[in-house]
Amino acid sequence: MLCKRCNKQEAKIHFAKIINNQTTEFHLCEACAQQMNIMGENHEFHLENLITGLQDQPEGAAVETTGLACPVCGQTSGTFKRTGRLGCPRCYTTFHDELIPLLRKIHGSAHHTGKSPARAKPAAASVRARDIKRLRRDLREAISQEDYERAAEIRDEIKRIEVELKTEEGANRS
Amino acid sequence: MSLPLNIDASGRWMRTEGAADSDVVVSSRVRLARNLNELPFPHVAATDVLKAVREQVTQAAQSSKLLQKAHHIRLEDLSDVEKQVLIERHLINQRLLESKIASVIVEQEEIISVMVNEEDHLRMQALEPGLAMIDTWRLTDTLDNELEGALDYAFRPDVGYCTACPTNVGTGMRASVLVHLPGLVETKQIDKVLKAVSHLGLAVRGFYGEGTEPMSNFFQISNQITLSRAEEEIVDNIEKITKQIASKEREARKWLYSENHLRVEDTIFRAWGILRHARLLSSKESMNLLSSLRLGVYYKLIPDITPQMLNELFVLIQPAHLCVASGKDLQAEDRDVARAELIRARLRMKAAG
Ligand SMILES: [Zn+2]
Ligand SMILES: [Zn+2]
Repeated sequence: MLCKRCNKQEAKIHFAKIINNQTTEFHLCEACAQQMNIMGENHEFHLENLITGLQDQPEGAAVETTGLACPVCGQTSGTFKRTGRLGCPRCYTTFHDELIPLLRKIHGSAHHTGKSPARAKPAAASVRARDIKRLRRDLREAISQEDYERAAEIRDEIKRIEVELKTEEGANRS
Repeated sequence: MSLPLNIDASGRWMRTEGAADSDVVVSSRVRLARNLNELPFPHVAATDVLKAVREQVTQAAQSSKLLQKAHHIRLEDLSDVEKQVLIERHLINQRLLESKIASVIVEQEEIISVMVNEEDHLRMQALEPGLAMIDTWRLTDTLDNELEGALDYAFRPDVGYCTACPTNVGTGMRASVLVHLPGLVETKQIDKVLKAVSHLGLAVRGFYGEGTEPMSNFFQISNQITLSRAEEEIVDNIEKITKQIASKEREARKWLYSENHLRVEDTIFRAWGILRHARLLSSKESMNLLSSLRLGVYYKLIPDITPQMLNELFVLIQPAHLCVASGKDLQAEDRDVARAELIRARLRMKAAG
């Protein structure tokens, strides 16, 4: 298969991304992948650099560039947009509002369902209630934009959190 | 020579025989990214922070059962060629070399290793032969639990394990398989398969040996998404898809042979002849020929050679391995001589060894 960007060289890297609800296939040759900064010199994959690209995509609720800086590492929102990397774990709290839509773009959803450290407390019910509120708002927005695929995803996410909350309530009562 | 590894052999993951689906799947790998709470990620951390991180991880590793007899290798103690040996063995990557204070902890069999201060404070991995996604995950999971007992991981209930790059956040897990697909390449079905796989949330890329050319017919398949799926779900998905690819690959191999067995045999026996007699072998040529030979082993045309011997050769014929084995800094032409010698010697050995 030829590279879909230059149509000259054999494509060596293959993946697909859902961007603005459309599945976009990437079939790239090495040179193009390097030009797009998603492959380093030693053929290592740097998909994160696609993020800087992703952020250029027009977004429904445009993120205004805030003057936010992380209290622990001092990184600003601008640095993150440029490098695609965060400065420290606290950045996830500092830049929460701009990260969530980005995480949805990268991963399809922004809610962790995997393993957690034994000593981590499960998210307080209040935090997740806030999540649900935020998701419901997103859901309305998606529906008003007739973005049903995304709406369905958000609905699933809400359901999942609700089930978690219920199970815990049950466990607490017994 | 400060590398504590036996460089005449590869890690156990490449040598073990009888692994599941090893006719198609070379290896399974799971890698987890973890960071320490309230500390800057390595790419912005000051030297003293990086030192403190390394100290903490070294201590934690000492309390881990799996890492009881592991080697602790500090990168600043190694020569350039020794660092390349670690890269060729898949124990570290290029990015770790860019870190000011880095080390790698390598368990004796080289199944398990932990990079310290790469893009994240910890990058731990397990690497098993054949298709063993679920076992490989369990092993990594156990290692993670052991280390967690001694480290304060950065974790948030909503987004999971915090990583320097948001593409790894959540599980912090990258699971991958290395597959050999000469049948699908030869029958020109590979494009279709790669397209299909990329739509299933997996990324595929050519697999690289020396230089810029991908190793013929080898592909690495990995998960793209790390958040919003449970680890078991991710590895299970890769395992299932890889099984399907493997059965397609076997169909293609069967078809090729039945369609024109003389041509297939000719290619394989030519490869066999050149590998056993050539005096100069470039990296690229050897890789291509070894790929053909691997197919010949599958067709049972080549006696006494196992896929594991060939897997091991793929590592041992790389430049840094050749240099360290000869004790000299070999130039390209000398490497081609040394490579041809090594291949001739190895292919004369009986598989039993
Ligand atoms: Zn191209
Ligand atoms: Zn920060």
